[in-house]
Amino acid sequence: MIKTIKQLLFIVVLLLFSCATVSCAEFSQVELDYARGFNVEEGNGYYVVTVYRPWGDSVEPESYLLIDRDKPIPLEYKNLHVIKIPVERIVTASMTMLPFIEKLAPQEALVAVGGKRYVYSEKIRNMDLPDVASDAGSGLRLDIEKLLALQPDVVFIYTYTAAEKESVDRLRKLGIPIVIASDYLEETPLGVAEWIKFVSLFLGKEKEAQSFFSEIAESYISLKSLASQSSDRPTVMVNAAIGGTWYVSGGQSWPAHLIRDAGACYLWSEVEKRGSVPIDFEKVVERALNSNFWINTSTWQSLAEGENEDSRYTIFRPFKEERVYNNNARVTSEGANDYYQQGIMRPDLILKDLISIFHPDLLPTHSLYFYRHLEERSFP
Amino acid sequence: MKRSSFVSIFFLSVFFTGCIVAILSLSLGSVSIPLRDVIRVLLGDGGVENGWKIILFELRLPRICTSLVAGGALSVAGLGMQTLFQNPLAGPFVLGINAGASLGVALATLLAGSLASLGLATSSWLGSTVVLIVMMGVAGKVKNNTTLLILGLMIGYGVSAFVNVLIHFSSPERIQQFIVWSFGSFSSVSWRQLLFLVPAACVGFCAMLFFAKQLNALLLGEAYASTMGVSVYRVRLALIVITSLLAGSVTAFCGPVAFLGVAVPHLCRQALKTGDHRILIPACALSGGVLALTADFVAHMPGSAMVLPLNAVTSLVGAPVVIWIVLRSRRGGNVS
Repeated sequence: MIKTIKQLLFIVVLLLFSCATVSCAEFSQVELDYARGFNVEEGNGYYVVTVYRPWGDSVEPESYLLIDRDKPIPLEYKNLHVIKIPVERIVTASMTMLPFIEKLAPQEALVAVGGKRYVYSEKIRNMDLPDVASDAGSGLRLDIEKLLALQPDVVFIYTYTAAEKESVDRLRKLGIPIVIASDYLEETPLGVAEWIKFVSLFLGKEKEAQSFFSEIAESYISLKSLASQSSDRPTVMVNAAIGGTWYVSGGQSWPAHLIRDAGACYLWSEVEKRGSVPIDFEKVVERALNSNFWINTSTWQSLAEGENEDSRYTIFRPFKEERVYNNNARVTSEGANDYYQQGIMRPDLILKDLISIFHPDLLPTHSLYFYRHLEERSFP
Repeated sequence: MKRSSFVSIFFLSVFFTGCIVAILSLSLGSVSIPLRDVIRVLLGDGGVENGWKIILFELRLPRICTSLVAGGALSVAGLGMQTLFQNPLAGPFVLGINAGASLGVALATLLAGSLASLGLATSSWLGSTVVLIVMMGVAGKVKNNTTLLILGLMIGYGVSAFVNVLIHFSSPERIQQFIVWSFGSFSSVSWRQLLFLVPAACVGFCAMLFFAKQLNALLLGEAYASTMGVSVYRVRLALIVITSLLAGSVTAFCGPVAFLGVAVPHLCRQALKTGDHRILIPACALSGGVLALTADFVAHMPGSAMVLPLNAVTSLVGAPVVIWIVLRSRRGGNVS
């Protein structure tokens, strides 16, 4: 009898143990609220992550199997790009992935970057990392030999063209585990920031990413609602001319969303584009001459710099009234701008800056973080 | 018809075409301004509230002046080079001036990241001057103009290769700035910059006119010119300096504007049936200016907010016209 009880107990313990192992291997569900560029399916010890548009003009999605190091690859997924997780050696040539990696990964996990001189984070610059693409390279310009020698578990990269994508495929054949991140194709600022969850899947840090992103999203939404309380809707012009042609942000672009969410009226909201659009200088004069604010003015550090670049900038009302703000308060001497790095992960901080610019009464104590107020009309 | 009346008719018709295109350029563009309002605003009456005054005075008028001056300067420079090298494919940029200017701008935009207009012009000038000094050194040593032409082209290739290396190691934003500069544009030149461009072009034009007789002698060959008492060496040096002044200044402010410098001298020779530089130089200056103005008018696509790259317009619209004219001619585009 006792023997039977012992046997029964053994079976119960065994069953419980096996259930426990199964539930451990079952990966937690990842919910996406804003990002439209990728999708995650959970499985037993693996994720299938699909990036819908790996690059701007792509028609074919790319799927990755992120699988536990000790698990065999399920037959049905053997054609996907396989990444063993959690990754321990990360390389990124995509600058926008860098803040996510810095936030979630242990310091020693980042083993190389591409375009090192464009890194804003002082911590990463001090890490003395090898550079795998001197120009923040896309698929075509990576240092293949260096990459092979580094034996990374994952290489984050961006591609803009079919030729770059082909080059990525060739690198994959050499066994380099490349992941094409297309966070920049997201339409909304929170959509871009939510790519932290994408990075977290590789590191096994889903919960941390989830709670961090929830805070950001909450902060963004509450700031947006604060801005919407203001009855004033100032008009905003953006960017500057290059060679007589003005490249304005499209109405669906990331800056356009931020301007509208900050309770202002973006002057080219009707342009249904995500990137920039070349517009004739005189068309900009016609529309923006009497606008209230002017932001994102190229690389200017002062109004004098703008005036020196093209004296015709002085005709715009925001220039005359010194209401010009540029997003280059945090740049390195090499030109790395934190607005395009940390700002990707912290759109709430950008929004806060913009609200304080457009509606100073709503955030009276805020001091600008990514933005600077351009003053000094004449040279010293 | 008498020859002098034919030449007068040519000049008058090109002049009136230029006037019509200039009036169209003032009235039509991305923003359409009715002609009577153009006159009203030009006479100082209104146009402040809707920005028309600024569009006309700060954008369109400087652009029209720039087109006329730049087109004329490039065409005259191209004519000088075609005569000097006895080569129909020669243009204002054969001596590597273009490549030198590109190098200056590449160094400024790609390394320093500076795009300030006068700074850009200065760097472009410096680049072309360095190439000019090298070419003058070469011109002093080389006896033959063909050798000089080949050396000029080779220096140009070498400098361009260096620019490519710079581009390879630059960030996408800076590359974009450089590429936009290389498209060429008359739109970025303001009154302040015209104060530099116009005198440079005038000096170059007058100097070229001064050498008109020597250029006529060069058409008969270097040896023949020498027997006529022309110092080929001196003319060669003078032409290098004049071309550098004309093409270098235009490139500094407008970018490397393609096509006009090569094509306009051919068009003028075909139309006027003459090789006399005393007629060809002013003809090239006027026709080049009017063609440049027309190309700029098309690039601004009236009625649309978009702008086409100037070089695309000059070449896409201009090349078939020149091909047609050259094929039509029995002389097949000889330089003399």
